[in-house]
Amino acid sequence: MVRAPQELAAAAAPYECVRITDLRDVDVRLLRFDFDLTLAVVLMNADGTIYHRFGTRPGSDPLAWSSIPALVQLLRDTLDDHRSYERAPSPPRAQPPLRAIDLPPLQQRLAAGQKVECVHCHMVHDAEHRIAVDSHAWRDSDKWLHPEPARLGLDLDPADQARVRAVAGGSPAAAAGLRAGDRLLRISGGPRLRTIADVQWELHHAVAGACELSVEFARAPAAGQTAPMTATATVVLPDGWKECSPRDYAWRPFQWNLSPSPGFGGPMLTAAERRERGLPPDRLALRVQYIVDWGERAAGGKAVRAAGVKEGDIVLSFAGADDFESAPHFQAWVRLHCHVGDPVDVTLLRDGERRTVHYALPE
Amino acid sequence: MRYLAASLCAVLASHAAAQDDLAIRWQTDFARARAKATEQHRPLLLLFRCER
Repeated sequence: MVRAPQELAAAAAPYECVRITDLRDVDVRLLRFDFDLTLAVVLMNADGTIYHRFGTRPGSDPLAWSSIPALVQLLRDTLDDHRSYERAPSPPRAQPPLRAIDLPPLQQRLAAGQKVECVHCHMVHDAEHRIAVDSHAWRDSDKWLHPEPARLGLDLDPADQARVRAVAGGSPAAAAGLRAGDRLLRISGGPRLRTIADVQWELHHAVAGACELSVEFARAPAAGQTAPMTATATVVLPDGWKECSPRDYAWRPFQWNLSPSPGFGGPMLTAAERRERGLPPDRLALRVQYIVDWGERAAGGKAVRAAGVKEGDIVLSFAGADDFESAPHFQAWVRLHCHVGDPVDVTLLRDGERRTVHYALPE
Repeated sequence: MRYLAASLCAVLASHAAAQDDLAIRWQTDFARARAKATEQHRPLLLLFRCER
């Protein structure tokens, strides 16, 4: 058991430690990670070489992959990587720095007189998405950000994050011969993997279509042998392998960039509010707190309002679906499952009465 | 595990911890920290934490 925070402080002592809470002046060409996260750790050399990333999460639990023991172990292991690298450094190609605040969409906001009090990490994602859309470089598959190892069929150990805890039966990883207990070393010849975030980084940069990934791994020595075996597995991935469920995508702020939108938003009713109205505890019951009738999506919101949706309505079903565990889950489902222009029936509860409205899904 | 994970967030986010000799000595100027890391051949630990 690691005692916190003393062991963490001791493990961090050999490092120059920097806490960044506003990305305004951060060089986003140099420092890159999953910008949807609200907590991320990057371990790097001063020459710009990033050793490891840490702090990602599965859709189900924001803290499932972040723990003090895992970070302490990573800090210790990365010292070995640092010493090894310093013996034969290979700095990345120098690029002119680009501060987050200098990204054109943020500059446009400033030029329009809007305040940008803090550049949150997700705003970098938002700005880069806008740039890609405006330059016609955006591909729909680009929305599958930092795929979880589960997309390959891998369950990695949160406490020892390059170690395979389980392999899903029938998955691409199983077909490639990977097994529980294997330690991932590299994907496609990239840098040494030590964290789930490292694995996701490599998957993020792999092509979204059908492809093959070479996964270098170490396996415990077989009976009668002393050295672990190192081998490479070829993981064959089908088209669409990066795709995940709306439930797993729901935590990402990036989803707000995607279309279509339901045209409204708001929170789910509380358990008490559901009981008062005789509504089931585990089905859609979303209070319309706002209708998006402003900004770039104003036309869609106005169409939703014209169809009969009002603030204060309770949405009970949307396009025939009501199996949503949270408001973000509902929003992600619309954005990932539906298409702009789809006709939808929306069942509303207003003043104790149910009514259904119809409209075409706006952008 | 959940307790430790929650502690991680608390420990890494705590300003008060910076006053403790046993805690991590956080800096806020990346350029200065990078120059020092170059000079002393030390690695960098960057924590990105949304605190607003």
